[in-house]
Amino acid sequence: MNVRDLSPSELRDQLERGAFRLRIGPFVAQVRTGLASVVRSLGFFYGDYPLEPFEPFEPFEPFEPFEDDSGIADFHLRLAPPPGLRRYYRPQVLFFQDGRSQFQPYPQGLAPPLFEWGLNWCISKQAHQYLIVHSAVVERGGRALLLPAHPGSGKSTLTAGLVHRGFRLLSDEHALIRPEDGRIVPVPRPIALKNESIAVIQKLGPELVFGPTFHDTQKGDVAHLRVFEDSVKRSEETAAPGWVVFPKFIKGGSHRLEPVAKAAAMMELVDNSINYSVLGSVGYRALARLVDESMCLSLDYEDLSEALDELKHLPERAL
Amino acid sequence: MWRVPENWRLEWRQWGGLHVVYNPASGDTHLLNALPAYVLRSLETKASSIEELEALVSSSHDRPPDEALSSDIEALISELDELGLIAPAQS
Repeated sequence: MNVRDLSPSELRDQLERGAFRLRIGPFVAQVRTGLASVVRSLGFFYGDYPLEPFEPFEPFEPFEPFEDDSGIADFHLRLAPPPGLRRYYRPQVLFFQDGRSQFQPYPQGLAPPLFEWGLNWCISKQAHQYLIVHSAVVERGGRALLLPAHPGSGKSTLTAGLVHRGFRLLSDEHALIRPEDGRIVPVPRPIALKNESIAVIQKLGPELVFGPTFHDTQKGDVAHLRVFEDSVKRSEETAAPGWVVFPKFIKGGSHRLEPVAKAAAMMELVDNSINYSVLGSVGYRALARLVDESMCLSLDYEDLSEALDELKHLPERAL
Repeated sequence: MWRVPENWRLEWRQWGGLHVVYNPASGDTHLLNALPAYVLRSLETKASSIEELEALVSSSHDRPPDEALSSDIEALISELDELGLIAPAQS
């Protein structure tokens, strides 16, 4: 059963009871919220995603039921207003994982993107069965194209453009590298676009479906792009390493796609890795294998169309 | 005398003339070019004094055993020490 198979009232009911168990790639997120904006947002962005069965846990006497103790999920999440008068005056929202509030309160109007940011945070903090690189990943012909980058480099803009040109989305945020075999595991979720790039990508075509734009976030204006159904359906299809491209958006700069020395690429990947220090030698070997098996390039760009044209033809180049 | 302590088990990869070394003892990863990599490899297998390293590099890299080489090796040892890749060894 997928999320879209639920009626609006069933979706709301499951979320209010905390019985909503969403499968996203290798993860199951169990979500509880009574906030109508989050209910709508989950229905809108995650309609094609499968639901996992909910099996309530019956505690043995004399233990009281624990609110999140309802079966195995990777992440037990709750979005709720803080207690007290803030419920009514400039309402706020808190993000809970495993029953604990993890961030300062956000304005309640930002609850839908807070779900995405919070889930990013959970994956980064917890999914240490993978080496996680802060990188977008798309795939074509079974090979992954990684775009590792720090914020502001235009990674998500390129990713959205590549998806529009037929690449499959594996992730906009996390390259999950399986240490056992070096393959990249998909975790496709809405692509977060910011500020000017929202309009740039919206102009590409009506087949790209956006949620609402949230203004005045810490990152400026933010809007999410819905994942194509094909990427969700193929969430279990891992990809072999293919290309590692370090993008940099340079306003007024010239376009340049050129090889990067593999040793330099390795150091750049170490810098972009989220849990490299947690994994130790396992992380080092996984990254070294990624570098061994990938063509490593840097991309300076200003013109999105020109950059996409060149990246689109990468699969035709010999590795 | 200097050496890489035996229980550190450095991990190495070489691409072109550059080496990327992981030190499990510190969790740090280092990018080294040919000469530091050569010296570090040597100190992995055997403790050496600066004079011994000078002689080794002089013969292997075809460099005269002069003051310039001596100063280069001293600076290199100091840097490898600061990076936590080597430690003093008992002579």
